[in-house]
Amino acid sequence: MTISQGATIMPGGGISRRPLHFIVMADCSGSMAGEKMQALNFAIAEMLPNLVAWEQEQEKAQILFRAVAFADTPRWHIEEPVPVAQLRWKPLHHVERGRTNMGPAFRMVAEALAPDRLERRALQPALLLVTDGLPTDPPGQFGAGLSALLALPAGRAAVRLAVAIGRDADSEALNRFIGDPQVPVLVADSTDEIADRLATASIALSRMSEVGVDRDALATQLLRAAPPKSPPSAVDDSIV
Amino acid sequence: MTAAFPERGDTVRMVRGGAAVGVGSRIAEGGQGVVFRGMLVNGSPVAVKWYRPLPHVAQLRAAIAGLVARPRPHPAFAWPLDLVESDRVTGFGYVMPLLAPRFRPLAQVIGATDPLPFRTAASIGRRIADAFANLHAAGLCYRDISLGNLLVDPDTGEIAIVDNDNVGTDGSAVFVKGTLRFMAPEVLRDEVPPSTVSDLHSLAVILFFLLVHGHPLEGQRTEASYGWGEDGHVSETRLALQHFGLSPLFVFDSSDSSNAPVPGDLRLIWWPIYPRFLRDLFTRTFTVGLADASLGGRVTEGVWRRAMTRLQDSVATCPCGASVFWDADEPGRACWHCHAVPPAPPLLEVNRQIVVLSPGAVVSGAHLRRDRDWDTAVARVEPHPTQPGQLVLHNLTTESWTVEPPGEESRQVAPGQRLRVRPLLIDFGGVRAAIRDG
Amino acid sequence: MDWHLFTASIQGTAHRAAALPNQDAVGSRGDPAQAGGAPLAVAVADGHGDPRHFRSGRGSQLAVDVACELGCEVLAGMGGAAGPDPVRAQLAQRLLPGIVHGWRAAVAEDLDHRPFSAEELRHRHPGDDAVVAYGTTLLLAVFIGRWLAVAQIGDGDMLLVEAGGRVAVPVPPDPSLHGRFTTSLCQDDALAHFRVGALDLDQAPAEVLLLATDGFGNAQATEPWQPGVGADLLAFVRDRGIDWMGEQLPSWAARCASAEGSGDDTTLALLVRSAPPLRP
Repeated sequence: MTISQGATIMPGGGISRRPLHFIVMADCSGSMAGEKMQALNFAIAEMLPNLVAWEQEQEKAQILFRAVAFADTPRWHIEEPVPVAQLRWKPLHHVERGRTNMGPAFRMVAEALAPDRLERRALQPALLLVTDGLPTDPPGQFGAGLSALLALPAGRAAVRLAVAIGRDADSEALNRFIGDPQVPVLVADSTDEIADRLATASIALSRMSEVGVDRDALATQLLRAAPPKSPPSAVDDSIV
Repeated sequence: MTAAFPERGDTVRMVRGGAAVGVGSRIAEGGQGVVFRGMLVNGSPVAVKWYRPLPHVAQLRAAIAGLVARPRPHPAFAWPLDLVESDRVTGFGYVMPLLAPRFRPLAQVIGATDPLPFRTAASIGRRIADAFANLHAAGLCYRDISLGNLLVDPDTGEIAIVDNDNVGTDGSAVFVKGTLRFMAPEVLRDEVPPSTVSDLHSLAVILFFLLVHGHPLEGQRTEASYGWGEDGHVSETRLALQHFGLSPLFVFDSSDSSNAPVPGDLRLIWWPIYPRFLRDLFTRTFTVGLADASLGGRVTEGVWRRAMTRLQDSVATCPCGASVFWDADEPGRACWHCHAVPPAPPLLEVNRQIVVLSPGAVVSGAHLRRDRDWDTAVARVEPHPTQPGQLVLHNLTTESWTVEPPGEESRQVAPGQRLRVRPLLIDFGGVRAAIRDG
Repeated sequence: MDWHLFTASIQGTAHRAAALPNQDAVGSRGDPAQAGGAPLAVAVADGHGDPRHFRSGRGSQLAVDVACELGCEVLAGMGGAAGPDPVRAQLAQRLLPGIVHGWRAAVAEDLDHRPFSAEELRHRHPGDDAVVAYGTTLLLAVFIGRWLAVAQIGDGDMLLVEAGGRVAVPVPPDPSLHGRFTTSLCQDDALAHFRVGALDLDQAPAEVLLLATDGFGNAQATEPWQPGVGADLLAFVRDRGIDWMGEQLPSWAARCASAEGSGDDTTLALLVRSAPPLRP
């Protein structure tokens, strides 16, 4: 049974949502050239509909998307926050012989999360770091950049995830960025796993951004292939 | 080595009957598991939800088995039909009816720039209240309801309720999923486990979102608490406890306007449009009802159901073209759009109910028999095909009506025929009604 | 003891903009592999940028050369010293006066070969001694036996990272140094402004030693920066390897010398031990 109304005038619809800033920091170093960069661009484009679907299922958050491309230096690939539903992904390109300096990228994101730049009513941001290698930061610079980010309440409160392309890229540095021992780095062992890792990351980031959620339990559910093994029961060696 | 999830092309097995279910493509992925399209042997489409390896998997399985053993409380529920297992895949899942694509997330529908027509919104509200009522009558309560579990067909007003994994009989702790903003204050404060009464708070919040386009407890006071400066920042969890648990304040509390919506907020436009009888219900549940967690303090499903019906029956059209409400208790209300007072519309009185006769109004079986048969349309009001400004009542049944216009002979309105709306008596196959001027 | 030595010296963008050459210098003498326990001396020096010190680039090079040569010569016999005091005494009483005197002599010889031009003289302040034009800082480290002898005048940084992770600055700080003011080898009382140190490498097993002109420290955003830099240097030894560090060193200096860093000439001398400390 369809309820018809005819064309009558109604007040404007909508709900007021709070901004959820989702920022991707993408490694554009020289080693990303070719297949890896292509796969990453595809994976990001594929990840966006996941975020749109999640946004539509709930009434609280509006996802605003930005991206930083970093090699020797960082630059904004998408500088002004774009509502994720309106975003058309423009591909990233690698930097010829570009290095993997992460500290400056963290600092650049920190600038965007400073109290005078971030809306007061914004929800805690979501940060996703994607890299295919170890940071090449000069001594002290990775830490300095990360400290700049974590010095801000919005940086500390941000949900941070990392995707490593290639097991070699899964480093202590990424764990420092994530800052939560319960949350593992997502590793794409091969190029064709990149899309799946990013999809998992986007789901995890959106779920973990929900208020009051048990982030550690969620991390266990979403980001680990299997639940952590319980420790082996103590061996009774009083019996010989 | 067994896999964690089934894949497209796999077959899983229903635990009770042993019947096979074919697994199709992935539909959705969430914190607890992955949902796939599926098909039964007889060709019926279903959905299969397969759980991730979770710590409390045995309890979860027992809980789902408990739901499977019961009939679904209301047609709106995408209720577990059976548990499913597989030799090839670890863990388990359950199979449930597949929702047609016409069902959209309620949050998306409310958030759209083109709003639902009033009648559709009221119909959705009634069905939500109905679903809650049936759930409680079956001895169950929600442990976590939010807009995320609710889908609607914006054309028909039908609803679907998904993610029923968390429905239960006991009132155990709920901080697993974290949709705190729908939880009752006493549950947030961890004083009592969720119950029927706390569900009534959640129901009222959902209806407020549906009709007024925002949260009933988030206004200027809550806005002022947000900030990312070094000194000002309070965590969201702490704020939720504060705003929804410790000191909640209704945005339209008449004695304390400190939490009113910020200027320009949509709720300021929507709220005054509704008739007082509806606003009074929201006011009661979000003032007295915040602290008084009882059937006396909070509005019950039955009351909401009748209110939604009355709301749906109050929809009128102003000559300026705007959709408005006309309620017998407040006959002189001005139109929200043109600010003129619209002329009183023709009314149908049947069974002590009043239905405003405006284009699109529907008389249903429920009007005639005061049962729950809202889905059977008896009559629909339409514009007169040849006389502009006139209305007709279209007979949608298979029986004739007998009408008695004053000063004229009684006549029949055959099935499919249209009756020009004017003051007269109608006999709807044994139920007597009257059209009169407002 | 087997050390690896890497050096890098990059002109600062500010200097390039002002058409000033790189006025830093770095040098060493002795074999890092230290077969036979011969001394190893490493030095960096930062020529002052002010136009008054118009030959400071030459002054810093002379300082490094003199310091390394004398460092090896004067401390050659200190390998067997029983405690730090004899080492410090040798430093203060014999090496430093030797360096100051030797540097002034080298400056005089340089001036003989190349007197000041009219253009240069325009920048000279009235009453300035000739050595002022060659003004420079100096950081010197000498490895001899189990001892590490260090001396520093002026700004710049020395950083020692022990195998256990402890990060230390081997020379005492000079409270008079801050901001743009620096003490200098060209001062009349230069000897009084030197700071010295002597470390027993058996007690404090060093794994990394970094000498840097102030372009490096000024390019660090965190304060204090030494713990983070030291921790990273040690981690690099373990995770990336010594060769990688040597390859990266020029880029580290380049970052500091760039506009992104301090824009100043930046010179680094990095010593990394390649094997665990040996018992004598």
